[in-house]
This record gives sequence, structure tokens and C-alpha cells, in this order.
Amino acid sequence: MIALALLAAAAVAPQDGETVVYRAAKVYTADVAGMINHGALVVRDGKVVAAGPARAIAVPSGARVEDLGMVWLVPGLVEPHCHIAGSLGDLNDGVFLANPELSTHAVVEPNNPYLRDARAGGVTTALLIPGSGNNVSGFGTLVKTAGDTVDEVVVRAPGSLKVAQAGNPERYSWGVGRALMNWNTRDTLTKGKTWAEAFRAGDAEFAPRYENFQELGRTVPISVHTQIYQVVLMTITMLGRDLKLKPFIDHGEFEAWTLGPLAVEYGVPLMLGPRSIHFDRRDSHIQGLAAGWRDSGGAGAVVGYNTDSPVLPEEELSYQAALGVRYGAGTNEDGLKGLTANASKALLIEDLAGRLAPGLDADFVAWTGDPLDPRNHVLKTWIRGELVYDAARDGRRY
Amino acid sequence: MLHYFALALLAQDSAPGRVIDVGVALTMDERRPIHNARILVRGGRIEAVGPRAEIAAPAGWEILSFPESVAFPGGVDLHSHTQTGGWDDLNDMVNPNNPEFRTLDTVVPWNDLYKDGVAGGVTTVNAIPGSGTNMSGAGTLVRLTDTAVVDEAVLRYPGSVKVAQGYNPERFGDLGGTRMGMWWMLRWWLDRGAAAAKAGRNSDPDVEHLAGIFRKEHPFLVHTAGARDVFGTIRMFQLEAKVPVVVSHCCFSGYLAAPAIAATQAALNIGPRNYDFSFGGDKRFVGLVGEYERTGNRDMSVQTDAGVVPQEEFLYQATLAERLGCSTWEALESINSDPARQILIEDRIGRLVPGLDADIVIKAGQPLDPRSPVQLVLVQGDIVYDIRAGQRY
Repeated sequence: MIALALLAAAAVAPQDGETVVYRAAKVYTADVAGMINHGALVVRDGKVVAAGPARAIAVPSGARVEDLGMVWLVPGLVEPHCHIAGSLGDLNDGVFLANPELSTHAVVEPNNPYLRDARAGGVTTALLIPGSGNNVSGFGTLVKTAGDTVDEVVVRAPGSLKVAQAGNPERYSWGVGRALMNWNTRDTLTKGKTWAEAFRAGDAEFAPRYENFQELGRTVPISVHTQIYQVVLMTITMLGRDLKLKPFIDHGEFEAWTLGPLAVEYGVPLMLGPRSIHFDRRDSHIQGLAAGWRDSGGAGAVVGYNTDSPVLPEEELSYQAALGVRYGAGTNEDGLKGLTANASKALLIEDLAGRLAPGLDADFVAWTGDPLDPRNHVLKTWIRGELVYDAARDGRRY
Repeated sequence: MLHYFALALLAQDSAPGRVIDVGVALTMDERRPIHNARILVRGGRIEAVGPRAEIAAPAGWEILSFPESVAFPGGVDLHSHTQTGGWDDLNDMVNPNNPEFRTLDTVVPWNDLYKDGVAGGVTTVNAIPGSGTNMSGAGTLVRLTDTAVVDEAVLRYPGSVKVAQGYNPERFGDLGGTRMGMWWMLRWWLDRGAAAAKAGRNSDPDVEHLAGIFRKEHPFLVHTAGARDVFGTIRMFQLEAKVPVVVSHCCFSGYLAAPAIAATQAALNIGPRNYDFSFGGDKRFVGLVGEYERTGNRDMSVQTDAGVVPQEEFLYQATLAERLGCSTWEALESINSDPARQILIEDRIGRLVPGLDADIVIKAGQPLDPRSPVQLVLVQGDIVYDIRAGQRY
């Protein structure tokens, strides 16, 4: 039985050192080359070796060529805000308003049914973050959506620090308003940042409470639950301009989209959703969220989309971008870039995932057509070069 | 009065109309797009459809130019409950069978849910009562148009008579607790309706709605699900009573009888569920419209059961049908030409051909592609939705 299982795995996983050339009617790189008709993707040892027009890519000797036919080959989608890669029962230990010592690394749950659905929706990388019940709820973990052990799926721990600026944390207790919350968040982050700087300089003792702050604002961003104009203003100015801790905006909903110019000025990425629209009750007008950010002067910002799964199912990530485009947020390609390269940029993993470019993880997906068009679906998903979902082999999940 | 009416008609006919120029027109009369198309509309009707090069724009007519857009017939949703703007007045559950009831008296024309529906490309709905009883009354074909007067929004009354075969109408401790009782009663009412049709118009006012079905003026629309009930519906109404019937829902395991259903050429109105996972018994993910098509069925419309699925997501029901295996043209036909034929009104709506009502949707892309919004909707030639005044969906 074990031997059989091994054999089955061998049929899927490329051998070490084996080079595979995938050909497809369209290859979307999310990189400078953009969309390539009659494209090819070369993969070895779980990494992308090359991507380009099939006629321009020489097949390395000994390489296996797999012609995928009339499909779109697209980078695996990157989810910047999810809660499903860990056990849902362990969403939020809201002991104090700030718990920077906690981390979702302790609750990662590889291969749960939500992650299997995620693969069927073309999602290959996801940031697992704690809930928004308190201002600082702990560090998130960046994972792949396939793998059997925690070590196998973790891409980076800590993946981000989760900050919730307003809204949900107000329910922590009576009397919690924005004055207290902003002080509390600023106080916690300033202490952590100060400790990290001193510790790096050899001037401070090890402090378990701030352990994960060592790379915060350097290689680790802050994912900020933030929405409403005044709250998002504080995200951009306090966390971005003043503390320089590389925040990115999660949600960005309601009328916050008017802050587009400021998001561009301070380089704060926008990972929008799960709401895709804002309904302005004063004039019965539907405002597309991504379109609003774009049109208010945020066209130069890094725009992506999230599902906040399980708020929306993880497999519907591509549809978030479809709605963005429906309500006026640019072209289909803008939407697709938002789901891939832009999300990677916000997560500070642009050299690791989100594009089909040499040296990046070979996370890619074969779709029946444009991923933003829900009449299409995922045929196959690869993570680090390994086929982790095959609708024909595994049964279609979505 | 008659004289005055004739004058009004004359005046309307000589009034200038509208020229609609679009990138692509899908007439749904044939499976072929017309590129660089022009549609002439006057007096509420379509006067001409064809390539722009072949149709001159009459002098003095208003030109609506959408050179990048697609025009297609307005959506016809045969299964909708949004006639009051909410869930009110849905179902008077007095007896197991109340064929004398009608939704006509409950319709609130141009209510907010209808406005949403128009923004989603729907121009006609069959406003029907609920499924709490076996026969809950006559539905009304309603135009989604800007009027406060019900009569001006009524395309046809009755639209259909609603029957519910199983599940919801089952009664406890009463006749109709099982399908034996329910289906016996339905056959009894069918016999009475047939007799009334034979005896002449209004010979039996309580079953006049049913008599109209035997006169082929409107069909039954039957809530039915599961292989036994779906085929049982076709057997009872179409094969035995030989009356027009629209088989609605068709979900759960209904598709297990799909090859036999295909042989009857029944009119299927599928939704609001788009797929089955559990009722078929083998844990297979089955797209319903796609599966009925695969087994040879060709007469298929989709529906929302609004507000079960929001009225404005009608086109998206066909999008999902295509995602789950239905072919592109079948999916396109499932939103306008097929339902119009099923409800026996294809001579008025459902296609863009001269003589039919000018119920036209203009959208920034292919009808079933939700990445593009509906831009302009005309009902009987009147603009009832214009995205430039604010996007509603």
C-alpha cells in the first residue's frame, strides 16, 4: 500500500533535477512580458527557470515537454488575508488589546478541506492571520496551500503582524474608542520597534514579548484591518509615514477610497475586500471599492484583493477581482495582476511568488480561460513544481 | 373612446423612434452574432435589426451609440416572487388547491427589487405565488418598467398557474400528507379544468385560470425536484393531460431522469440551485443545466426564484450554468428566447426581431460575463436604466 502511494506520488512529483517544459495557448507572467500567446514555462527543482514564447524557449536536453493545449497558464493566486489555513477554532486569543507575543504559527493546519478548495480555486500562497478582536492580535504566517506538515507549508513565519485599528476591537470592552486604540497601537508598536533596534545593535536583552518584531518593517509587513476614512488615514500616517513599519491596508472599505493620493504618496499597498462595493446611501449610488481608490488618485498604488476567508470562500478569490473590474477598476489584466504580483508585493515576497519569472517558486495554475471570468475553472494547480490539484485526477472541487 | 385610441396609435407610429448602434447584436433568433449592428425602435417595437451598413438611420431619430457594447434581448425570469418588493403576500395557504387566486392584485410595479432586476438585465418576470400549497394561483407576466399603474406593467395575465408537486406543500394530518393524496387532488382539478374549457369561457369561474391552460393560452409552472417528481410532473401534465407545462427547479436528483425527460422534449426552467452534490448519491459535483444538456435536453431556461437568488443575478445563473458544463449558446438562450417560448409569449418578447417588443439590454461585454456591467435597458423602447445616471448593479 505504501509502495503504491509512493508510486502514485512519483508519477506526479517531478524527479529532483528533472526539467519540465509546459506549453500553453496563453501564459500570463504577471511580469514585464505580461501575456504571452503560445507560451512556455520551464520548471526545475520547484522553481521557474524561464517563461516566454514557446518558439523562443529552447527545450533543455533531457527535459520533459508537457503540452497543456488550450489553457491559460497563470501564476498561483496569492491571498493576502485569510483565516482558513489554520484551525478556525483558534482565530483570536483576545487576552489584552495588544497581544504581539502570539502567532498563528501555532495553529497552522496543513491540508484541511478549506485549503483543498483553495487549490481548486487556483490559490497557492496565503497569509494566515489572527482575527480582529483586539488591536494587535499577533503575527500571521505565510503558507503554501499544499503540503502535509507545518514545516512543509510555511513560507515565512512571521508572515505579518496583524493590527486591527478600529471597528471589531471596540467590542473588547466598554469605553474602548479610537483615542485609546490609537494610543495603544502606537505604544505597542513603538516599544516593539525600539526594542528590535536596540536588540539588533546588541544593546538589549532578549524579550520574548517582542521576539517577532526583529524583522517587522524590514522583511515583514503589517497587515492592517482598517476601513472608514479616519481610520485608514491613521493607518497610512501613523503606521506608514511615522512608524515606517510597511503596513498594507486590508479591507479599505466604506468611504476610505477617497485616500487614494495618500496611499500612493506613502507607498501603502491596498488589499481590498471582502466587500467589493460601497453603497452611498445619500445618493443611492454604488461605488466600486477598487475603482474608487483608483479614481480618487490611487492609480499608482499597489492594488490587490482578499476574501477574508471564511468570510468569503477562499476559492472565490478570483471573483473578487472580477467584481473589481466590473465596477470600473481597470482592465482584466489589472485584476489578474492584483491577485498575483501585487499581492506578493504587499506581502514582501515579490521575489518568491506571484510571478512566472526565473528563480521564483513554480506555483502556477492551468485555467480553461481568463481566471477573472467565472465561466472558466481551474484544471490543474502546481505548487513548487508539484501537481497538487488535478480536476480530472482528483475530481473537480470548484 | 376606440376612435381616440386609434388616433393615439397613429400619432405614435408617425413619431420618430430610436436608432441603437452597437458593436455586436445577439438577436437570439439564430446562433450568430451581428457585428457593427443597428437596431431601429419605434412605437415600443423593434422595426429593424441588422448590420449598420445595410440599415439607414431615419432622419430626426435619436441615435444611441454604444460601439463597444453588446445588445441582446431582455432577460425573462419565469420564476420570481419579488412582485411586492419583498416577501409579502406570497402564498395564501387556505386549501391545498386554490387555482382561483392570482398575484395580479399584489404586484407593486417598479419596486426597488424590480429596479435592481433591470440593472441586472431582466425586463420581464413571471410573478408567481409560493409553493406552500399544491396549487397556489395564477402568476402574472410583469414588465419591469417605470410606472405606478399595475395594468401598464402587465404583459400578460395569467402568466401561468403555479403548482407545487412535493416537499413544501406536504401537509401533516390532512389529505395531501403524501404524494398519493397530493397527486390525486391535482388530477381531480385537471379534470375540472378540462371540463370548464370544454363548457366555454367563464363557465366555471373558480377554475377559469385552469381552463385557459387547456385553451393553450398560458402554461402551468410546476415547482418540482428530484427524479421521481420531475418525471411525475411531465407524465401528469404533459403526457396525460396534454397541457402546456413549464417544469421549474428540476434540481436535487432530477437529472437522474434526464435522458427520459429529453425524450419528452419538456420545457425545463432550472434553478435557483445550479448544481447537485448530495442528492445524486455518488458525491459527484453535477452542473444541472449542463447535465440536462448532455443527456439531450434542448428546451432549458434558468431562473432565480427571486428573492431566493437576487433578481439582478439572473444572468449570472446562466454564467454558472456555463461554468458547470453547459454550452455557450444554450446558456445564452436560457435567459431570453427559451423562457419566452416556454411561457408561450415568443411572439412578443425574447428575441430581437422586427415586430417584437423593444425590450433590449446593452452591456459592456458578453451577456454572461459578469466582469462587464449592464449599461442601458429599454423596455418597449423606453429607457428604464442608464448606468450614466449611477450604476445600480
